[in-house]
Amino acid sequence: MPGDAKPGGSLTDQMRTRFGPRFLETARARVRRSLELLGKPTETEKLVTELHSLAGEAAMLGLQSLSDTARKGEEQAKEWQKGSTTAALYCARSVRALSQQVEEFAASIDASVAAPLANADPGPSAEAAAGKPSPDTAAATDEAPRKVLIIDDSRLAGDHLCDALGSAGLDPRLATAREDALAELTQLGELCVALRSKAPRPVYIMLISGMSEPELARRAEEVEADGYVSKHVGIERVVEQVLAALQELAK
Amino acid sequence: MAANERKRILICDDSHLMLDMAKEALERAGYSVLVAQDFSQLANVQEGQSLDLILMDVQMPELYGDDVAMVLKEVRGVRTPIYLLSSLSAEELAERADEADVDGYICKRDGIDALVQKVKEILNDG
Repeated sequence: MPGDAKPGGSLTDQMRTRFGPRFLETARARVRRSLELLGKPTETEKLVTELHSLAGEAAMLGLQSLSDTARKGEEQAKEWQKGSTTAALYCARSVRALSQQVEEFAASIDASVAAPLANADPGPSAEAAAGKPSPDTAAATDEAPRKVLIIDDSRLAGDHLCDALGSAGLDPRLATAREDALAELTQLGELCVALRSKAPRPVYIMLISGMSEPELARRAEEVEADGYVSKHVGIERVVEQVLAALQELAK
Repeated sequence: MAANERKRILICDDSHLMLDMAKEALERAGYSVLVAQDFSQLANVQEGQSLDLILMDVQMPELYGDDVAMVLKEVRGVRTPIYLLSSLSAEELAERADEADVDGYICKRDGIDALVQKVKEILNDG
C-alpha cells in the first residue's frame, strides 16, 4: 500500500510487482476463510494458521501494516483458543480490518485486478467449492452495493455477519437492539411494520436466528417477514440466502 | 555459476505463495532451491540430498517446524544447518530455536531483502 512499504530496496519492489496479484488472490481467500472460521469456535487453530500465513506473506512483500494486523489477529485468535470471548470479538475486528487493507492494496496495484476473483488460490486448508456460487461474483456489478440492515442484539454475531456480507459485495449496516425488545414477538412484528412503512422502496425482511427452523418459520409467518434462515446452516449459506433474497427483490 | 556449483537450500513452508517468493528471490541470488510444503514432502526431498541450508517454517497445519527440526537433527542425524523461518517475533523465534537446538532463525517480518541477506551471511556469501 502506498506509504506503508518498508524501504525494502529494489528486490522488494520487484517481488511485489511479480507476486502482487497472486498475493491479492491468496489474501482474499485467507480473509474469506478467516471470516468463516470466526463462526466456528472449535476450529480456532485453523484461524490461527490462516492469519499467521497471511502475516508472513505480507511481510515478505514489505506490506508491514497488513502483516501487523494479521499478526494481531493471530494473537487474538490464540487468546480465543484459550477461552477468551473478548478476544474473539477483537479477532473479528482484526479480520474485518484485514479485509479493508487487502482491498486497499488491490486498489493500489492495478485496477485490472481490483474486482474480487471467483477462484482464489486455495492453499493447504481450502474447502472444495466446486458448484457453489461464489459470493464475490454475486454482487460484482456496476451498481452501488445493495444495502442490508442487520438488527441483532449480539454485537459479535452482528459484526460477523457484517463482515461476511461486506465480503460478498453488499453494504451492511448493523443496529444492535436490546435483547428484551427482540424477545417480544409483538414488538418484532411492530418493528417489521415500521421498517416497511419507513423504507423509501420495497424491502425484504429476513429473520435470522439460532432457533429451530420450525419455530423460526412460525415466527416469520406471524410477523409477516419475507423469509428466514437459521444461523445453524453456517455463514456461507446465510450469505447465499441473503443474496438470493436480494435477487428476488430485484425482479 | 554452474548449476552444480550452486549452494543448495531446502525451504519447508505450508504456504505455496511463500515458497514461490522465497525460491525466486534466492534463485536470483544464485542459489539452488528445493521446496517442501509438509513433512512428507520434506522427508522425500531431504533424503539423499546434499544440502547447505534448511529453512523451516514454524507454524504449519498439524505440525510445528521446530519439532520437525528436532526430529531431523536428533532422529535422522541431519547435519545441515537448520534455521527457523517465521513471522513470529524475534524473541519467540529465539526461544524456539534454542529449545529445538537448531542453528538460528530468520524473521519473515524483516522482509525478503533481509531473508536473502541473512542467507548470504549464513552461507558466507555476504
